[in-house]
Amino acid sequence: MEIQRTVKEMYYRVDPKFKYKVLKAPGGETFKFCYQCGTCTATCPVARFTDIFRPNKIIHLAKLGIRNVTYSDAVWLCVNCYSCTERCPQGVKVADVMRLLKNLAVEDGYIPEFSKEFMKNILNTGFVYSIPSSRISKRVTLGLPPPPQPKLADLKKLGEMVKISELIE
Amino acid sequence: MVNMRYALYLGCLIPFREMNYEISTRRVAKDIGIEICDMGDANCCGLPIDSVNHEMMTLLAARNLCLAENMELDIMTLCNGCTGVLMKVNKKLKADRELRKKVNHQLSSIGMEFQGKIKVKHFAQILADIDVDILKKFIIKPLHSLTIAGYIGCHIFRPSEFMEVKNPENPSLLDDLIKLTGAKSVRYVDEYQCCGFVEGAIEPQIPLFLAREKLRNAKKAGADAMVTICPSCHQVLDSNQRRAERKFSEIYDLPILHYPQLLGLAMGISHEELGFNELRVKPAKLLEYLMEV
Ligand code: SF4
Ligand code: SF4
Repeated sequence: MEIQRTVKEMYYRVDPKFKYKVLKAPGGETFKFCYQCGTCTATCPVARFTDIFRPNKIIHLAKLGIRNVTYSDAVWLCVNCYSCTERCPQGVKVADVMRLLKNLAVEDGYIPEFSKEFMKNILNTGFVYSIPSSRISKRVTLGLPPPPQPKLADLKKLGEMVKISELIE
Repeated sequence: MVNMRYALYLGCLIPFREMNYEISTRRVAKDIGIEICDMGDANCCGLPIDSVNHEMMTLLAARNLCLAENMELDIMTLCNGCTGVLMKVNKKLKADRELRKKVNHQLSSIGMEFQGKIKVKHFAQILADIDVDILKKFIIKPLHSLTIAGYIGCHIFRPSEFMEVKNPENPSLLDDLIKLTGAKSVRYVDEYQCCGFVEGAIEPQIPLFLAREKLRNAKKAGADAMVTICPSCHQVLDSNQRRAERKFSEIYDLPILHYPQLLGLAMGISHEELGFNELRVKPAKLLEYLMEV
């Protein structure tokens, strides 16, 4: 991913209603309590090793309605470790907000290739990775029982319920 | 023997990439008396696509929960990520009637219904809930001479709101389990910081940096080996260790064991039976050392 590029493009479109959208969605309710202390960023393992990702800045931009924050690759750097949620003095569920911003980006048609692939793999195999047949035969060699074989028709139907194919096309 | 039965939920990584974790768990569980029933129809827990669509994640998790309900068994998980997702969705669906109604409507399309009959527990949590004195009876070869650095991971205790941890700044779960084997458990800097596994798909360098910190700090603290309870953490620390060594021109050579492998050794089970051969960082020195003492 070209992270540098998208961060520059972050400061484009302003949508004053964007914050309401975040507040209304499951996981976004607490984001208005942020007072920019930076504790989340201080505890974030990703922020420690890259300058591009700062959870408090992302929350700030989202509050201002700078919509492009969700199209940036930066938000996808969050590894969902919940350290921030655990330590935020204001009770902001930071990790859930990051997740929600990613969801909103996907709704707008921005989805990273790897996520697309994950979703497709789940629908096609039931697992998030495609499984080489050598691994299955290895299980036999090691004396392990056959791996689970999820009913793919079930998964397809569940996908249809939330119109998942529209999101990953 | 403790006489328990669980539906084993394996997830995606363990059955194909971390088979040694599965082998050692099955072996150890058998001796302790935890009967394992396989969930032949289980799908991905949903976590990897939570960032794509929260609703789809909920449905995938709910389907797994329904499968276990049909088996009338509580779920045993081995992966922190799966534990977090299944536990959270299970609790949310039990508590939130509206959500449950909506999800059940969606599940009816595949002939399933969430009833809220079961619990989800990680193998480590199951062990921790068994009376220590009962577990101690299984320890016939205590590992007194070993110093172990536990790496607990994230989703098993964060967010503490859902994971019912008494002290989220200092969770003792893995610490206590290491002490059970007779080994010494050491503390080290960054022991509660994420392994960064998911970052591998976006910025593969970051997990290497994170691994480096932990490996260095654990070694500095005098650890002979590290112990994990999650396949993702294990991938970063074990499978990626050589890559980190090359990147930083450093040598760590620190074996990373799955907790049941450590427990198995203390229970007198041979290392071959515990899948030690499958580890990337070869624990040869560790095993030699154990033979000597
Ligand atoms: S820790 Fe909480 S209040 Fe502080 S900047 Fe982060 S989200 Fe805002
Ligand atoms: S959940 Fe995301 S933002 Fe929060 S500390 Fe972890 S990586 Fe950083």
